[in-house]
Amino acid sequence: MRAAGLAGLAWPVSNLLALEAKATEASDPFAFADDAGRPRRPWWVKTVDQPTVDIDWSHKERFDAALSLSGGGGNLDRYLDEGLVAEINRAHDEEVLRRIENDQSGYTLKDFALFDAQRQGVSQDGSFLGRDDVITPQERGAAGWKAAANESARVLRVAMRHFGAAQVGFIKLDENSRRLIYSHDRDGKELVFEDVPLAYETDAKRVIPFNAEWVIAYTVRMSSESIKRAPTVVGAQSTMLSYSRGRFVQDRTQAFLRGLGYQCLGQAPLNGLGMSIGFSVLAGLGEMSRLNRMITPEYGPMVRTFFMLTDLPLAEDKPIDAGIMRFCSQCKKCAESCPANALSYNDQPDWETRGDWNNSGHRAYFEDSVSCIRYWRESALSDCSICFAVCPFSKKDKAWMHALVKAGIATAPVLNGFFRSWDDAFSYGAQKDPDEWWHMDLPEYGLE
Amino acid sequence: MSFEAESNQETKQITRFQRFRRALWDGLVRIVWVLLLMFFSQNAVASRLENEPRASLLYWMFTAIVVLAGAIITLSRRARLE
Repeated sequence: MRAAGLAGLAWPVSNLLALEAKATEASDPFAFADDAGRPRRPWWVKTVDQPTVDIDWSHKERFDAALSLSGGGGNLDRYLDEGLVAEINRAHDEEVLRRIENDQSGYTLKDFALFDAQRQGVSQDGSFLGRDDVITPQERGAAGWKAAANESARVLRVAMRHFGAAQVGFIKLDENSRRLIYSHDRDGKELVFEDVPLAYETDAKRVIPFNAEWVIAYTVRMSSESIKRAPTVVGAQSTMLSYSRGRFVQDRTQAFLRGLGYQCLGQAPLNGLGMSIGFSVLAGLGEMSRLNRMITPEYGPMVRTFFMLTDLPLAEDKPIDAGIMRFCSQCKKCAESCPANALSYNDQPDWETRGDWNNSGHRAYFEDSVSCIRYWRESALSDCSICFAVCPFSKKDKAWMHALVKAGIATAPVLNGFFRSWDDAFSYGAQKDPDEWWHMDLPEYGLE
Repeated sequence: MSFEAESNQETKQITRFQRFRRALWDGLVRIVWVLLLMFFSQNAVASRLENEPRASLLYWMFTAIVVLAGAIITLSRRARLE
């Protein structure tokens, strides 16, 4: 009888202890969501099997990066008459000088000096193999690091977050996703998959071994306080800083994995190797959007995306659905704000691309990159980023209302029109005074 | 029990129920009012910290409207009860 009574008591006590353990875990600010080191995300960010962008893998081919106009449109003459491009560039230089001499807000000499300083280390071309002066386990006389895929994922996430990545996700390359690797890199080198144990590089090609089949997708945050000054040089310098920090994360991750005894292949030229946005979406860091860029639930579009390849087996992540792509179909604030009229106004994404600069095989809001880059050169005189600044997802996270609205967007799409109207009413996305930026006591990198 | 006594008993019971319902209703309205005040004032302060002055101003306006609405309802109900 006593034993039965004790047993009866044990059940609620054990349940209470389990509840207490769960509560402690939930309140632990340093706890991951699971063994693979995935971060705890808001409840309305749902993991799904297929991304919210339709992909027809049978029509997706490996893209030649030389066709892309991203990264400043150094190859604008591919799409415009050479003489016209020369004229645009000449007018650009004259306009830069005129604005500096007029001390125009956002285009002063100190703004341009800051922009040029942030470009340091961004466009360093070189090898995609990373530095070879890192001591490998073999050189130490030790065995290579071995761990389960979950543990490897957690360890790599922790290291990369410490290097400066905002988000980190992993997927495994397959026959389909391999098509997101460029056919030719931005510097013209061919990207080839070969059945070799180690990656190598020649003057003509970069060789990716089939065993380097895990993709490390990551983002680096941009300062929204700076981007809200777009389209000025004060806004654009933050983009450059993020690219530079992305390279910083890549260099250290390559060295870290080499130190563990694994290969890590990075982007040699800026935005090289493959479709970082595509990989990031597949790895669940965010969703595609009307910007034809990725929007994350946590930071909106205020991130730059990067990726690397490794032969360290990693626990795979899945795409997400936070209602972002659905919201974009109705919002159109970015398209309405685009001074170059380069973004799509269509209600639904298209299979049809708008030019050779777009990569086909998926349904997207394709942009007119030529108009975009012409505006950069002729008027903005730098990276524009207005579409990033006005996006309703480009909010900081201090006001409770933002979390409520994001949850509403994910769960009650019928309210999307209302959310868009109120975004305008509250004047979110309005351009801020570029000169004011020089009087602000911001945290490091301008990130909050 | 006479008809009059029965009727008084019934009236008493209804009154007690109504009183309970009113107290419950009052409590709920007050909780909602306090939550709304907290919500709007948090957004107002946070918007200032986010360097969104217009949003902050609008949230302060909402806060003021909620305060005023609460005051008007309280005063009008008190006058009716007296």
